[in-house]
Amino acid sequence: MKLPAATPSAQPIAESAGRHRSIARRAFGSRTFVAGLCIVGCITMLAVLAPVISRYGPNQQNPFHTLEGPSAAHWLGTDDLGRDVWSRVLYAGRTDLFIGFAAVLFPLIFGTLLGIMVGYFGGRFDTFTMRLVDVIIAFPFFVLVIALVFIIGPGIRGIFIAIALTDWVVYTRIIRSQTLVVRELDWVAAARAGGLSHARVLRRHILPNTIPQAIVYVMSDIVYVLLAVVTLGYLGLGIQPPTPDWGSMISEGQSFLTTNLWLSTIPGVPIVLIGLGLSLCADGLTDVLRPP
Amino acid sequence: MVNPLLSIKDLKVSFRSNDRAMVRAVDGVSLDVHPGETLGIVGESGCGKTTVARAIIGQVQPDEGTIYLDGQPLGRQRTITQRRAVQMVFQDPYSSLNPRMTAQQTLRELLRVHQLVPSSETNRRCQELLEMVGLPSRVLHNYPSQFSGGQRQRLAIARALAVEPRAIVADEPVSALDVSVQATILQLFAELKASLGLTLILISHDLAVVRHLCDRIAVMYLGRIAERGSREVIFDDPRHPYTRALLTAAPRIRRYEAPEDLGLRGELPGGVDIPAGCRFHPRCPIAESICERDDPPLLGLDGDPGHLSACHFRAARVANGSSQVKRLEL
Amino acid sequence: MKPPALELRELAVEFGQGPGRFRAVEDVSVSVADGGTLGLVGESGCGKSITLRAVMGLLPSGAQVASGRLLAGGSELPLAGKGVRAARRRRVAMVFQDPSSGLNPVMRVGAQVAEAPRTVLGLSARRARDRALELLAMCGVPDPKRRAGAFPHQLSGGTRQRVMIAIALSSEPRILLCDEPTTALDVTIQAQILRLLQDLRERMGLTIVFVTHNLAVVGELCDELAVMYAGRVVETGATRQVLDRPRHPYTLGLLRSAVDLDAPVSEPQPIPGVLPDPLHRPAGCAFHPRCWLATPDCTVTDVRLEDVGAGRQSACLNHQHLADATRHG
Repeated sequence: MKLPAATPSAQPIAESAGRHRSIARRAFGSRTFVAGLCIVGCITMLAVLAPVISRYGPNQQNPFHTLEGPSAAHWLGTDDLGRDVWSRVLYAGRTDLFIGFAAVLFPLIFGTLLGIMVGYFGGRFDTFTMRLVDVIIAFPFFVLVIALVFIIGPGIRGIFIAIALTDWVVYTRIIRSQTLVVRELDWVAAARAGGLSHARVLRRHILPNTIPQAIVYVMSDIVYVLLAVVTLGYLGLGIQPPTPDWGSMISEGQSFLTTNLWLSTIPGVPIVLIGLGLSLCADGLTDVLRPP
Repeated sequence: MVNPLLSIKDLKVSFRSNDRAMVRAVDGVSLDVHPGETLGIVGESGCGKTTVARAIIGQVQPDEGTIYLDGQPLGRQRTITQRRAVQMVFQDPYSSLNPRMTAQQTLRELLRVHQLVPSSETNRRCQELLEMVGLPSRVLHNYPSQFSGGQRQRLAIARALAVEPRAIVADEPVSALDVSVQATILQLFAELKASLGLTLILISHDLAVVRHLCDRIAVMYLGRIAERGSREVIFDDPRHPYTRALLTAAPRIRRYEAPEDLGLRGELPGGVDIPAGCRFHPRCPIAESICERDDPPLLGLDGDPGHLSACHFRAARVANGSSQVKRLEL
Repeated sequence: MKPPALELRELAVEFGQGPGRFRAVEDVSVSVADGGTLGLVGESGCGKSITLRAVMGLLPSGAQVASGRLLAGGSELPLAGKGVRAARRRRVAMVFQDPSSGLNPVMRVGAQVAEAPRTVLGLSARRARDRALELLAMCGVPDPKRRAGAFPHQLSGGTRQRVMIAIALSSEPRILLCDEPTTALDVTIQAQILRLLQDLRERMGLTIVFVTHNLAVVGELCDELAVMYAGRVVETGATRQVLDRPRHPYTLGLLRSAVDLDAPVSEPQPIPGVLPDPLHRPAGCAFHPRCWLATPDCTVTDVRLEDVGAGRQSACLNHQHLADATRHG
């Protein structure tokens, strides 16, 4: 094809009113997102800086100061073994939050990739995968996780494996639905007609237009996983002592509910706050991740 | 006689509709497209013209029949060269561009994948492509949401041209645009035709659009071609009652009155129940008993083999504007 | 002399608030004689649909009537406030563009047509049903008894549009407002629907206001037309006169750029430039950046519709040039 002449049909084009802002700019322009990020950020920061902030080690026992209320020396008092509650809450946060944030990564990545593959190619692969998804989703999440941890063995390793085996299904479903819609759109047809390979189409045209839903979902998923970890800890199947964990703290404080209420209730507070913060992030992100 | 660039032979495509029935969207279509010509395919909803377009670019697979490019049959899997050869411009400017890619990214991706220009030249070529469609180069970094409908169509045309195709299929390229913008896009097609010798297959429900740009026209009804011929004969001497009905029904600016009764009875049957005999006969104003029994083949007229009609009464000339033929001369 | 069936005076409709506020419709005055047809023509963003919806009392949320008066047969109809819908009962009805979203998908069409006769006209259930069948037959729905029991998705596009017209007629209005009712239909079906509207108008003495972007359709259906651009009316008059001898450059531009079966095969001539952004209207006449007749006055004067004789109006300062040109050209 020869070099064509410039067509004289050039019309004056009005500059559009909206400017394009980068995702980061838009994210920080969303008040909801920023609020959520602050909450999550604060709590995470506190947990990360636990060794610096707390005066006591999490397992430092003091038999002379057991079951004390909040005081200047111990901001949240002490438990039945004289351990400083505030320190324990912070250190437990390090473990629990780490698992919460890290354990969702495999489901997110695996579930998304599987979702776009089955959604795009369909066929028997799709049918088989979706029936598997149906079976796993049929079980209540916590029940399944608890059962798996019971079989695999308690502790961090067990938790990661159990979450990895069960949590990916929702991502696959969400991404697959979205892929089914996107793959019928004309711009995907144009990409294929233009000679682009399936891999390229998946990577550049399908994935960017489907993954936002997964990213928004991952915010709430972190809370689910966190709750699972804490529940396992409460049941004694999660993080094993002596490593502090919010769940086991709640369980240990149970015997003292009438006298030292805060022992069982305080560990729940950061979970609630994280949940709130992530919720706000998800809300703000939905808007931010729209196409420019 | 120049060999056709594209040749469609007995194409048949069926779909499974929502309630599990098979819909014969295209039921035996044969067409040739010659290099440099503009072929129009006209018809109303359900006639199969969009399915033909998608079969040409390979988006749907034929159940029967073959499409030939330069004499070579196109199989289930097309080579990259074959895919590049025919490009499409879609109807809806709002879903035909990836909203997360700028104009430059959209064009550059195609240039890079096919290594059409050395990488140092990519930006320059992107600007050239935009110039060809009348867009200023400063919009290279715009996202589709920043373009109007007409501008998006221009970008879609630039994208089609980027891979240096042999032919472009435009599926209702202007129906979603404002009247004054339609004119600009049609003018652009006319210019590309003149400067590039572009081969264009134009699909439309609007006869006026097709008349403006096309050298030859095929009229489709319910999955088949009802009539085919040069622009002149289709508009001045239509030989199929459906073509005549379309011509009469199309609104005209200075007619100042609603079209006369077309004599069309009923409505388009669902694609599942194709009438026996001539598929148009239940609605046809001049149907006779032969039409209920025998399916008329698409045959050329005596004296003009390039003008074909699938009507038993193809030899009858009917005065312009009139769809009723009271006494037929066979 | 009978008052016009519908008279709209100086309608203005605003959208948004604060810095994003703009007027989608400004200073729109049109009137339709009793039993006449008026076409409102223009491209997207010209305000024709908003005008129609304001007349019907169906403005979307976020839009408010900033000013204007509406009279039907001489008596006032409120454009906003609580009595808006009630005032239009039995006087004005609307036919919408998209039959697939204008009809309730989970209700049989017979029931939808019978709804107004029951609630507005107070007929009994059986009489309302009979009336519904009558209306469906009047609107050319084949085999009305069977169709009445169908759901909208079981009917073809043309039949659905006929059902919508029947619903509009079921409350016995004097005025029918049509918002691009044939745009989504095939051309052969469109021709049938236009004939139907003509028929109904003659038989029932209806007054019709028809909104469309298609000059040919308005030419075939309407006696009078009003051309709108950027929220204002730029030209009005008898259809034949306006389309034969336009008195506003935008109208002429539209005519020249339209592809039409009767026009010569030469290229349609596009109007240079683009439609103005409603948030940034040009000063003076909104069309002046695209107008070959523009004079310095056009960039500053707030142009209004003026009478230019023979029952026509134009909002162009230089309309006389067009009159001379088309007389001699």
